[in-house]
Amino acid sequence: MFTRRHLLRTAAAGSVMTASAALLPAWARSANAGNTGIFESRGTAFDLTIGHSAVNIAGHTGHAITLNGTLPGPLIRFREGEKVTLKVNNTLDEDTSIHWHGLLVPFHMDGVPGISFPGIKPKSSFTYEFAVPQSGTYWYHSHSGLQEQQGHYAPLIIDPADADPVQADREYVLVLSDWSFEHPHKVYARLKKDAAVYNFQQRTVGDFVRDARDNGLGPTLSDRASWGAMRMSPTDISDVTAAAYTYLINGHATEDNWTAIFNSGERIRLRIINASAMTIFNFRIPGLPMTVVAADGLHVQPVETDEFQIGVAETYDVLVTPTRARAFALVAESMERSGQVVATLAPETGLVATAPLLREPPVLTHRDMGMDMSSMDHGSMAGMDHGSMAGMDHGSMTISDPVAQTHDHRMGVGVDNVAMVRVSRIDEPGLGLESVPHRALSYSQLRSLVSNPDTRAPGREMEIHLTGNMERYMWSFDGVKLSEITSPIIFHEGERLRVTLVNDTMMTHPIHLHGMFFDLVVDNTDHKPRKHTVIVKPAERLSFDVTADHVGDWAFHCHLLFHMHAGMMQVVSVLPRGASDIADTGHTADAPAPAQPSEERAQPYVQVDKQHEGHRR
Amino acid sequence: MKLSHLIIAAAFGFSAAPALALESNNMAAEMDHSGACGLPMGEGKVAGLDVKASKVTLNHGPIAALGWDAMAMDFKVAKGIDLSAFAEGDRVHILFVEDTKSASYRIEAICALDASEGLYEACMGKMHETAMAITAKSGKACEMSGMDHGSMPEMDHSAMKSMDHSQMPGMKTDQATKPSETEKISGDHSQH
Amino acid sequence: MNRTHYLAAFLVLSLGMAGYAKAQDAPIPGSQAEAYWDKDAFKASQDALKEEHGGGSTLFLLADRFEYQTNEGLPALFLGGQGWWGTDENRLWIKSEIDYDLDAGRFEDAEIQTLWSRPIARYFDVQAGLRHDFKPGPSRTYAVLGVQGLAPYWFEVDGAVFLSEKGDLSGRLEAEYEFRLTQRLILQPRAELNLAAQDVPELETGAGISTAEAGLRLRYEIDRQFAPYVGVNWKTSAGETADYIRARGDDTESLSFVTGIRLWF
Repeated sequence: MFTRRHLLRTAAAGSVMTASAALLPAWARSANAGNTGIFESRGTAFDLTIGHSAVNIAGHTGHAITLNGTLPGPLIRFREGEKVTLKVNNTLDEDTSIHWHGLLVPFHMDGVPGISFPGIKPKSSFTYEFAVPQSGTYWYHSHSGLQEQQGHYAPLIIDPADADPVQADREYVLVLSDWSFEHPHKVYARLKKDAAVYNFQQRTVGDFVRDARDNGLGPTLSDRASWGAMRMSPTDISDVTAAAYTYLINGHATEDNWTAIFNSGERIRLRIINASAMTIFNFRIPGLPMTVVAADGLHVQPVETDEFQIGVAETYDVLVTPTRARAFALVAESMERSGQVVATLAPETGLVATAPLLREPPVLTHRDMGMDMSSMDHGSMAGMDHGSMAGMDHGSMTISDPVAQTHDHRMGVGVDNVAMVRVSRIDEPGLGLESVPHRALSYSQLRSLVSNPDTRAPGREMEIHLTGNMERYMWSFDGVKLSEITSPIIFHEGERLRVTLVNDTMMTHPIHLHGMFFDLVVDNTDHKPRKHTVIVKPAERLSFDVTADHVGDWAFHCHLLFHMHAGMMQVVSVLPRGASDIADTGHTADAPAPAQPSEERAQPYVQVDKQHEGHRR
Repeated sequence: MKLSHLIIAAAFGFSAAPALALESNNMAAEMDHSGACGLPMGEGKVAGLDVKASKVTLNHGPIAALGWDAMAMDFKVAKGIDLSAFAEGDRVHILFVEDTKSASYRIEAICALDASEGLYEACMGKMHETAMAITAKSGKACEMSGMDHGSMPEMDHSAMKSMDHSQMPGMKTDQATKPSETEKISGDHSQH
Repeated sequence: MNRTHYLAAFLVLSLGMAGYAKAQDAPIPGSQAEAYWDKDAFKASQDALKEEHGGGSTLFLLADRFEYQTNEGLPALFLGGQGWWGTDENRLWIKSEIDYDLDAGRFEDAEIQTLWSRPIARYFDVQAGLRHDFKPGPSRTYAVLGVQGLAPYWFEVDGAVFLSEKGDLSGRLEAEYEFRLTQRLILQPRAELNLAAQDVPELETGAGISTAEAGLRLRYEIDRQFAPYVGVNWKTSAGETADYIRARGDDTESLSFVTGIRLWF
């Protein structure tokens, strides 16, 4: 049980980064509580204690798993290239872990139990150590169980070694998240038993009558029939909605009115992080345009917009310059529009920005089902024959590697749909934003500020299908859940390859690759935006080029927590030069272990110094 | 001009090229604001807002197309308009559409006149698109003085969003560090 | 074949399936992190990783119909429920129907099915196992083979064939549909058909369609998991089954008003 005494004990655990006695870290407290700008806590040594805490959200008490006693956890800030030490103390009765999202750490420091390291056992400590050659806005969170849903997340900022090209008078971090008072295992179990359990926007008989009146009975019947034949629903956009969630900005619900203050004419930098478990947000500040200057921590050429969709685990840095001395609403509306969270950006404390109305819920179309024949790209039609895909000629690029991953995934019980028509949707702003009366950002507008470090043409192409069965709530890559895979996805050190993600489902998935930045193929530019997480829309075909220069095993998964929990995860193994192509050389459980001097067998949690392998980008 | 400054300006210029070719900067100024596709437009000042009820009270100027004098009036706004983007005292430009059921006019699109250039132009562009969509739906041809509608559909509003970055706030374009930043990110391993 | 044989066959089948399921649980070969950590600790975390990401079992319990039936003057309490436990690939599925005559104070019908359920198609499971009828007497055990799932246009269907210990073959077909009147108010028509391949006089069953049932239930989901409802339910016997019923002086068909709760965990 968690008592106030326990809470204080956790907070005062003798750590460098101790949270104050108030329930929230200084940087997340609103202007009312004394926060007029970001709280810079620099250092190279950090202490993090993971434990249970009672949290107060919108007047109700919840039970959270926290870092240093607060939700979100403490802001960690250090400088590019500096070696940092992070000592993590696990006071829980279960394993925990911390993954440094977007950071190019040595792979055994990446924090994924079962892939990077064994995890941090209950009542024990683990020390992470790394120096990373990057700067920007990132975050860190648990990769154990469903702890990320329970509050185990926090922001992380790395300041550039040289002067920051982005100059601002003031800076705020906005951590967007979703809070469930129900235990996440219960939420997941409900989804397993009734996939539409949280969907209160389903089509009713009343909708049928209205559609029939507006569009005619015939077209309405055939529309219902086409969806019914597939046993899918066009209102199925988010698995978990406001029916279960209270959306938060910096741990504050709308009622808690987190406030950021500004002086008129100031340029303010907002570092926006989507640290939620299952919610893709549409972020806007009605009446105040934003200039996007960074995506996923890396600088982009400035682009002005009024709204953008931010997928789970993505980050965006924007600049705003409010010239009117009034309260502006910082609005994060969930993609399916069942709820939103609003914070205030105002010239003084005590103001509450006018919250907008929730907008009309978006509805999927045949295009999202992969049935949009009108925009069929006949170049990609050739790809419909799964058997022959391996040898497909992509024009200037041919698949030369005979052991390349083919996408001939099992059309098994875990796959409910294979989108017939997969199109590029990189220039679309995101579900629901096609028809808003203002500008909305699309990936195709992003260009890296500096030219891409590796502009070689990819040597091979790999296609990975995003698959799933909504009714059974099974999610996978290429029809195979992580619990069923027999080998990882292999990259070879130094190679440049193109990965094409094909979304066979009609859900939007934010896909994350650990350990490296990939170059999103928006066109043939050498300033492709570099990201670690990318939203793949329903029936979309999206490509990224990646240089596999960071040796190690890296998690590759959908960042919707319950999709990952249901199996939508794989391992990308970047094999060092000289290693065999075949995955299971001498490492299978049954094969005799290669002769190894017993001294080489590492003790638990003692790092073997292989740092030089881990730092390349 | 430093070389780095030139490179950055050239990069921005390159990304803005399609928009510049359309000279869309001047489109707003050339537009006849008395009407769009035959639908009435007007200007006014926001006197009051009710976001929850989707209503706005406007002190509007004379609207010749409707034969209205300058006055203060309440209007319902169309679904999808985010009234929280406006505040009391904002000068706005409005597109009216007749609501035949209640024999009154509602606001179909509304743009703040004093908003930043990019926001204003994008908003006005959407306003004209809305006007065209409505006239198309009712089967009428779009009439608008001073505009060649042959080129309207080709106005690529997505290019407008990324134009003219040399004025963009917050980006230092004359840093000597720029070239070395490129070097550093592309694989300087001396840090390890 | 007697009951013991059925039970033995069922157990062997289940163990075989369990063994097959376990063999799938091989670790990811070629892990590069192995060299950094204690081998056993890391292997354990790999197993946990697989379990946490696509493995894992769920328990589901549903009382689909827990209702009071007016039954034309012979009120009854009826419980129709099912539950399952297991992974995506293997589930132990239990189904039960219990009919209690409130006036006479005794159970009219009581059956329980214990099945092994495996997915055979995207929306369908194949189920095999045993059914035991405690009532009506004499009690019987059956081998069951069936298919359950979601048919196109959102029809929930469940069909099975039964082979009794006496060698009698019968079948059952159920279908349900849901009309969503509002987000929480749902109208559910339901139909059930029981068929028999041969006469079974001791169970008052004639060959052909033995019984049919149709119902309409309107429920309000106070919570997704708790929904009270009202409705109507019509039961009838046909053919020779009807003859048996008439012979003992009872009605062959009845129309009930029903009121009950639908709940699940």
